[in-house]
Amino acid sequence: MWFSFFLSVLAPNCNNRIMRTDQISPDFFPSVNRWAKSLTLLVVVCGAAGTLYFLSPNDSGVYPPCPFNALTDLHCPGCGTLRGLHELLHGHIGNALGLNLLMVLSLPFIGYSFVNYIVAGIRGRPARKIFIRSWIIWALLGIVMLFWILRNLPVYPFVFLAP
Amino acid sequence: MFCTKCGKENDAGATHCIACGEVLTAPQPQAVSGAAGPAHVSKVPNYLVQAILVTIFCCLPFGIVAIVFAAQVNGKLQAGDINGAMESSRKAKMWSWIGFGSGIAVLLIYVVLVFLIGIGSQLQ
Repeated sequence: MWFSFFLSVLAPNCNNRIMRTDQISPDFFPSVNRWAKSLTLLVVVCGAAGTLYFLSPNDSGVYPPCPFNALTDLHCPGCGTLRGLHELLHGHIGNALGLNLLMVLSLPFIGYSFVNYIVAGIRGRPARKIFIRSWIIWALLGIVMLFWILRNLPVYPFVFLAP
Repeated sequence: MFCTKCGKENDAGATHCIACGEVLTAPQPQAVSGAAGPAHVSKVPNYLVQAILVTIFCCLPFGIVAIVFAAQVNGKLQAGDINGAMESSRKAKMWSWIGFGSGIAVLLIYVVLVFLIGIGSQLQ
């Protein structure tokens, strides 16, 4: 949903020369071989997914608590991400949506940039670049802040946003 | 080279885009003093993906700071302010790393505390 909105906003922008001038997947270690980086990232993500699949964040005790939640007893925008990913890996999309709506909605975007980066890196090509207009990023920031506030309100419709 | 219409990557010698059929023109040689040239712009990443990942995974406000700078990067690029965009890009990168580093630090402190508490309960 969020992603299709994203693409529909991006599409008309494609004629703009600036469209390809921004990287969706910037390189963090420019001196290191991109192929090695892509492979490392792939291994790390697969390892993390395997760990999350087999060790539930609810009872295993190997995952750290959210520092914001531990200090304030409030939920941060990321609270419920690990539990939500664990549910997603087991195919329980409904449970994942209930734990962190924002995480599930942002996964297509993150997944796209991840696959884009990995595939391009392993094939030895430059990652495809998409320019995102700044107002979209400001809107995203607004959504994150709103989510942060709303999921802490103990009022009827918003309690579903809490993990 | 990339198609100017749809952004699809084509072979360097291609005359038409394989995705949308748009006529492809070879990239213009870089102007020596063109400060606003595409080559400069292409080196200004906004670190938006990293900022979102830090926001979602590290549970600390640093990711949100990084999103602000990511938005500034693209805003300044749209306005043609390349130097400003690079400055914002640097800050977006810095805050992404601060968020990531803090997340790792919290993880390590947690592991050490769990370890110490484990030892403490063994001694009692």
